Amino acid sequence: MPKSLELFLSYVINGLIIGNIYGLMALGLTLILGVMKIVNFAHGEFYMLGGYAAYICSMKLGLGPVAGILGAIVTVFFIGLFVERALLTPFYSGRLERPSDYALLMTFSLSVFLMNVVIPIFGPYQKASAPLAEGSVNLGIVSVGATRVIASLVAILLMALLLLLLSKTRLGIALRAIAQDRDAAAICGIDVNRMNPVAFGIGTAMAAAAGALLAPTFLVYPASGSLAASKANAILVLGGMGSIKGAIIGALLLGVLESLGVLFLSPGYRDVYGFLVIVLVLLIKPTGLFGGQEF
Amino acid sequence: MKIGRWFPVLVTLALVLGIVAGCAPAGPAPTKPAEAPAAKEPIKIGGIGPLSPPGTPALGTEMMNAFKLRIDEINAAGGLLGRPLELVFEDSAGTPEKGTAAMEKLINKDKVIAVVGEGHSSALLAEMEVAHRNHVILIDVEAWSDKIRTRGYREVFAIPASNTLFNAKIAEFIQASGFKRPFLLAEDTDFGVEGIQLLGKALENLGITYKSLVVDRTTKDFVPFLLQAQEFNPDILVVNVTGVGAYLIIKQAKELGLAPTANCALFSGVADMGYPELWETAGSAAQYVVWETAIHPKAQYTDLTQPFIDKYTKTYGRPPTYSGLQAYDAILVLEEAIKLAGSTDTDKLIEALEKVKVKGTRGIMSFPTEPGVYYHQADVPLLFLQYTEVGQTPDKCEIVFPVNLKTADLKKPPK
Repeated sequence: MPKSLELFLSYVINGLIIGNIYGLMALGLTLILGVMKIVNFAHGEFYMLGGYAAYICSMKLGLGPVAGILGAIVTVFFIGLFVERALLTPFYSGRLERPSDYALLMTFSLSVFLMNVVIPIFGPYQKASAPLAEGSVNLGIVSVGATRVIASLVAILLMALLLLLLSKTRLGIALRAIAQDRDAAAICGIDVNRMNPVAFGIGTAMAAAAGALLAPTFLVYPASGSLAASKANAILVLGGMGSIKGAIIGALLLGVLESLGVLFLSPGYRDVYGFLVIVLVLLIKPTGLFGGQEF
Repeated sequence: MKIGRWFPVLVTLALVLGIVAGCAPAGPAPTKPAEAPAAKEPIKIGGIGPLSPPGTPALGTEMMNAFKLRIDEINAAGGLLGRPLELVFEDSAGTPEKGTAAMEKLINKDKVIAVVGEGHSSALLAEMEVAHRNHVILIDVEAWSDKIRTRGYREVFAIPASNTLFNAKIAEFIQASGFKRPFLLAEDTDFGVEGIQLLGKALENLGITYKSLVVDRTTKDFVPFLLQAQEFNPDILVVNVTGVGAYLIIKQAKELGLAPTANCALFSGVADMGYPELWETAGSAAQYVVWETAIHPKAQYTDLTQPFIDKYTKTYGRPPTYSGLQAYDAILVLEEAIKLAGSTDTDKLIEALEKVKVKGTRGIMSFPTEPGVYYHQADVPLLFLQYTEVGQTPDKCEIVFPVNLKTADLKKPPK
């Protein structure tokens, strides 16, 4: 294989690996947006909480990396349920004049609160949870960290499970129905308000899974969710607000674009390339790549 | 009244109160002067440094601890000018915007007589403008940019190495160790960008071919950059990235099979290499990493060096890095200037600082007044160490450079 093609493929592979993990973040955000019509500005902080939960389970309690990831998913799912019940119920209570503003301000405040609340608990130092595997995997043209490859594969598995849940179960069908038309779903007998905490819990658990999977590689610290959240929001816009297909394809696209941008353009602007493409896509198709299509 | 309506508010309040009551304060409380001289108004010393990302919290915390240590010693001995000292420390997060706001607060609200600290050049370059505008002394503890020196502000004094000094040493180390193809990776801050230019120039002067790359220090995935380095086939990767990125690069370079390997060494030029978090986060990937410091048990510069290290270790449960020594030295310098000036007036303090010869933990410090990169710059020793074992503490590292002080040859990982 020519050297230049080898180099190109190594960048594509790295982009796809990162893209899968971006996808996990974006999918959770999409689920919350689709069902609850809320853009969760605290999504990055649930990613960060997932990382800390994995750290506690795997390192402090010595339960191992798999228990760390499962512990993070379960813990943050219940934190998500609690947050939704405690803080977000006024959003759909009908008492507020501008519920969208309430949701925006509440999730934004929650983001700042969570980021600051972990500092006295865990300290400002970065932590790493136990890795799923040590060493590297030689993929023929590029050597990649084993943890990163496994994280990517687990991310694919979790995304597949979520898609299965949404397409094959009564709960999933109810969530999709609400996402398509909240009033029509209510008329059909679905208790839409009871579905909100479920959607929020699953969405935040997805973010926690991403945080737990990446905690051994990208480390966890109070502000570790900020960059992840900005990527997830960008994917949301790129793929089309509330589109699951858009979130997955948008995530892979962003991962590969960032990686190739470094190869073909300047490495200094790595985080700019994805956003540049988003601007271009929005100019041509303001609803994003798959916006307006079925949830 | 329905409880449901107030439930979110009550829950939020309970959460906030619970956390406030249950946790130790995140930020540093001012160091209150001890007992006796408390009746007299304290002399307030401002402290500034990164206590939160994107800066290096470990660095800010270490500086703050070392300041406290010396200030407590001074207060225990009766204070200065018959008054106790009080430290007011502010978090700059290592960023210019937060650093500027912190400086404004220290100078205009807390009315400090001088400010000591900072570990990030970008932040200090902004902070020094506030100090200059308000005519308040600022003693740089761990920011290396040449611009800090070449601006020639009378209020600013530098305790750590400058970029010129540091990069000249790295170039010498590269040449002396026989490396032929260095790849330089630097963060997109004044420290990183300026450093890469200076090192590039120094390498060119030595006839060494190199390639360089500036990266965003907030990035988490450095693999695309490291792939570029791999393409160059370097024999040493020189990394000048601070904070979390310092650890991530080591980890990701190892995963990629780039460095440290039998074919490519890894040198990291930041204080983060001296912290125990290196092993917790980068793990075995940090074995064979070369780094620089001013501190080593075999380098006892003065009779203050070991007592400070021992006291710091006993008080805070972990040994200091060279940043701790520099922070302690900053207070020693300020203390000497106040004594010499017999006043806390800025002009008198500057005059005194330009005259003093202070014994610190790293040697005798004085501040030359000739314009240029050595303006108000204390002389600084530099040692290049290598971690040869996983989990090794800095004091167990071998000195691999300079040649006259080295305790072992550079080791390479097995093939």
